[in-house]
Amino acid sequence: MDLITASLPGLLNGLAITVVLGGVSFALGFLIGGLIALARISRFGALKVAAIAYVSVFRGTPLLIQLMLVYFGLPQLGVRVPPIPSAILAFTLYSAAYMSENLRGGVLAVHAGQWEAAGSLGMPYHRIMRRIIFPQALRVATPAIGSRFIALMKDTSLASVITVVELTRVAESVGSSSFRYVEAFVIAGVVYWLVNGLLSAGQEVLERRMARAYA
Amino acid sequence: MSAALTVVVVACLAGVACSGGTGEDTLERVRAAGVLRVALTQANPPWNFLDRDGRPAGYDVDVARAVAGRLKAARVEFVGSDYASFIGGVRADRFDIVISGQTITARRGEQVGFSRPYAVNGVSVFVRRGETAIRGVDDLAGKRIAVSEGTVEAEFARANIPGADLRIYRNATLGLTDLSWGRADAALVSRFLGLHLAAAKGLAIRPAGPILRTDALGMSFRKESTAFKREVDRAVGDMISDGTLSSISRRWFDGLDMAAELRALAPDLGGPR
Repeated sequence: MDLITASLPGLLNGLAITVVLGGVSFALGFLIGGLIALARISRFGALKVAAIAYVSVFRGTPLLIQLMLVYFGLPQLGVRVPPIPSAILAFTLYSAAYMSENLRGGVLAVHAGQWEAAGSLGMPYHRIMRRIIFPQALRVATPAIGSRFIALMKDTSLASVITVVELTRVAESVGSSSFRYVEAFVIAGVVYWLVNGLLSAGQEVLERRMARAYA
Repeated sequence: MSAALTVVVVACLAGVACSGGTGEDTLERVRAAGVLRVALTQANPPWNFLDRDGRPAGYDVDVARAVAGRLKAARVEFVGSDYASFIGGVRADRFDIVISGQTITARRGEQVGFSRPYAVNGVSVFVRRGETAIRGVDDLAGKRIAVSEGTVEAEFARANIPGADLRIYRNATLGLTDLSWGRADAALVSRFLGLHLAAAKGLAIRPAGPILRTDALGMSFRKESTAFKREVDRAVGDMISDGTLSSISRRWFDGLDMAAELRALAPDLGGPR
């Protein structure tokens, strides 16, 4: 218990960084993922191929390698990105690949009759997408996207290898300076679990609100 | 088997006391298995690193092979680890011995057993080659300082450098590389290691100021293994007196005679009295 009180300020700072990494990367990844999903279902062959290639690369390689490439690889090409922006960049690109697939699945799940009905009213493509299809697609994709957010929160622990002092790095510091590894990592694990519990609760609220139209 | 393992893991997580080892002396285990499991960072040249073929090499690696031979272990198994994990790993019996330039300290000595010193290290401040503002440790307040977690350098920086912005790397090579790129202002690191990377890898870094501290380095193992300690100490002593250690160190440290360095070590660091 004394370990908790002694290391609390550091743990809270680490948690703040973890939440910033996870939150910002999730928001940006959602936006980029949406654009990639649109590219993936567009009629333009080149866009489609580019989107398929993007998803394949970023889903098919370990996140740790992507992180190391951004932080230790880019400087060899003359680009030096500071630690936290490096982490946000890598997490954003990685989660965008997953979320684009979640959103694409959501769009494909919307009944074709919806497209036809909106089209018969003379709506242009972008408006059909924005007003009719996307809201319904989002409802379908929410469980998968919520899971992605939770997974991303845990993945942010990898940022410790590129010098970002987030929750896992703080736990490692506390453990190796006090030699009490079990306590340090259990405390950090409980904090992650609480944060992700909040995210799960938020997801449930969201799902209930979106289901109202169907009640 | 996996079911039994699950039970053990769950019991451990539920707070049942799990001791790392079986309580037997490490010496018995090593002799019975014929294998000495040696932990090292594999990223601190010329102390220890992976050569072009991906095989462990360096001072610590040659020392480990010589020690294993003297302990009558047929084989050495090298385990890649890092300073943040060495002590936990020894206590959890992940490996038999750490031979990775570990500084002997009283606090570590409460957790693990140490051999007699097998090397002497000088810790230096390193800066980028064109750096003029940092001339030594006194100029480091508020600067970005590269260290590795769990090292004496990290502890030193936390205790002695006011307002230091510590940048923690997995190993010293990554930290010194980033220093050369300008994402850290200084590094605290073994002078041998910094000079080696500057020379061999062409990193644009140089030492700044005098050696901060001289450390005696030891091999660490389970504290209860007294028979193992006796044998390891005997092996190190023999290697110092029969010239083995000198020839290994001459090879890796540019002609340096580590046996002579050890003989010159102050008594309070474990040198001869």
